[in-house]
Amino acid sequence: MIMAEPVARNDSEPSAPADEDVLVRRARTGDLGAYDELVQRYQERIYATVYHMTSNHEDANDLAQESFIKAFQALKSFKGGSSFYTWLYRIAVNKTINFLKQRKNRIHMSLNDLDFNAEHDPDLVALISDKTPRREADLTELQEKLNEALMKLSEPHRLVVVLHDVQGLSHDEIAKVMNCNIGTVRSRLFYARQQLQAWLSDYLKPT
Amino acid sequence: MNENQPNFESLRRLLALKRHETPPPGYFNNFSSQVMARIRAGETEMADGWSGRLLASMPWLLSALQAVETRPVFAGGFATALCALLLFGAVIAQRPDSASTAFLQPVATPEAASFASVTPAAQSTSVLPANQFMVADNSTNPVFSSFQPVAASFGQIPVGAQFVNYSGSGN
Repeated sequence: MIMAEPVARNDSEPSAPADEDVLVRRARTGDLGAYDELVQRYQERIYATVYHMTSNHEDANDLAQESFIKAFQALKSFKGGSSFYTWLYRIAVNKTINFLKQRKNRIHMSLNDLDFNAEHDPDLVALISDKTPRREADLTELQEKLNEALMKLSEPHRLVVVLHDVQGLSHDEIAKVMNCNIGTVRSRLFYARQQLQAWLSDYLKPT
Repeated sequence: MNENQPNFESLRRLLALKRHETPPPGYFNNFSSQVMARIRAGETEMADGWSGRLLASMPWLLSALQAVETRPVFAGGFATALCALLLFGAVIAQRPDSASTAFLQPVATPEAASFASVTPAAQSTSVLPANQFMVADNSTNPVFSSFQPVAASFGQIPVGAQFVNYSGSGN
């Protein structure tokens, strides 16, 4: 099977400043100020990942907070074999997947409105412009359909799409977060995109 | 690009819509402070509770609990082992095991042999009713002077008891 090779997105990988190691070492000794800085550094990314997996802000809030708390409690077991943010991502992802498995039957969509910038995003404007088969589709409807399609995917496939196409992580980083090899990441990404493309064909501009 | 490869460019642009789904403005201003407050509250709770003190004194127990929490296979394995142990115990308890009955058999020692040589008559005389007890000859009690059965504590005066008269006798 020939798989699509996405464009390398190394520029979007989270950077790890040199002082991160210092902050982690201080946090391991119980320095809450240092850990506070680490939380502020990664809170948006962790929150966004959890949110895109759950499609619920309340659940995302709880899970993101619990992930940071668990990470703090487990800091002593952090050996530094991977970067801190990869390790943190792994905790958040595992927690989220466990949560989704426990509440498999409870699917609710309580999505917030899109932010103001969405209406001015050139890509999105083009997406719902003249060439879109369903011109009447507005952003909200598009958002709902997109989230419905995402929630149809299995957790591992959804996670790969969220981490790569939404969060912008590279295949290598995703493999570390999901504790699998890069081939598995690519294969899951390809399959998930195929599924999404089939489900959202009415809303996608023909190429 | 290979012609057979599907083009996901439109899909990727559609997925970019997800990046605009953001929490309410100002949400992240309090996020870290909430996390810190929960960590402090958890530490206080840990330090105050008996379980916290126990875990603090035995860090390996905390590690084991964390391992069970993060890897459900450990919890499953532990539960399976516990069930197997209970089952094994139940089977052993119900089986007429030779090892357990051997404990109740007479032991072939010289003392046991001398007990075994006692005649049935002697055995029958040595058997007392359940409500009687024996007083030994070497007792310091002046009333009971012989090794004889005595009635139980209540209901009747012992056969060998003597009444003491405290009244004056002519002096």
